[in-house]
Amino acid sequence: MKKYLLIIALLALIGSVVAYRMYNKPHVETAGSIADVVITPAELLAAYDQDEMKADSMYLDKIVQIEGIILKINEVENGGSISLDTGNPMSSIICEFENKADVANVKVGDQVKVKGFCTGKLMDIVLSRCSL
Amino acid sequence: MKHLVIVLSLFLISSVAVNAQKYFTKTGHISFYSDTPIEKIEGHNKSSSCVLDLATGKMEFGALVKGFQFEKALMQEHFNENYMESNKFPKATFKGQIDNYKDIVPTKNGKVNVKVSGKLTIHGVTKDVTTDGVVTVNNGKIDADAQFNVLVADYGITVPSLVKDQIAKSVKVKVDVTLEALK
Repeated sequence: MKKYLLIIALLALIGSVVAYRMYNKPHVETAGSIADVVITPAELLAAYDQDEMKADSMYLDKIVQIEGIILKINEVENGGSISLDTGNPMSSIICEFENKADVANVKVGDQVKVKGFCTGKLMDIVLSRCSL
Repeated sequence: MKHLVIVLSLFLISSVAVNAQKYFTKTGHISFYSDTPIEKIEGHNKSSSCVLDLATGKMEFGALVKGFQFEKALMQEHFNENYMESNKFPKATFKGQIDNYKDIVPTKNGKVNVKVSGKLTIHGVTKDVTTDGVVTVNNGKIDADAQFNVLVADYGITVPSLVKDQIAKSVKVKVDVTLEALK
């Protein structure tokens, strides 16, 4: 009888540890991850302009690596954000960073390589949780 | 000839003035808060777009649902997959109107309390929304802040009974955008 109780207690303990770890599962970091797609800003925009549904199916939630020129450092609260040139003045690639410090050492005109999760296109294509 | 020059220059000045009536941002901050005694959940989207036309008072917002970031990865996953179905409904939009838009003078710094009404589309469902907001003119830039509540059930989002105590029935939405003149 005592043995069963022990087993049940052990199972409950394992169960709660697993549940706790699942609940606190960390975000996948783009820094250190291998990109799913390597593409240029212009190619990514062209794919979205041609067929948004198709582009979403190819890039959404994927880690996309792009290299481009910084058009603008965006002012955001608690975090960093830069816009990369696509060659089209209407649409840039907005890259969101979790911390302002992530983009403290870059300036407008710099060429940078960014990895981020593609979250789709509004006016601009947005990459989130980026790393340089 | 002289008249023509005057008319032309007047026309030019007025068209410049009309152009300067549109304000926009592509990096607006929209956040929402679900508070229950069991769990506090908040999501932040910092790449929301907003266009305000001061000539008509029309205001439009757009946000990518997948652009909302959460503290915990699991919350973000559930938000996208179970509740917002962001693969099916990737965007949330608001199209509306500032009723007293004429009170906003872009050349004069100051605060204006505004009333905004329009149509909010979330999860493929469109509903009428009215809210109070504050517009602040600050050296040619326009700050717009508003806060309102949406009922999760209004937008066809079903919360399983197992987690119904963890997710608020009424979610607070905060809008905080800084708009620049469209050149």
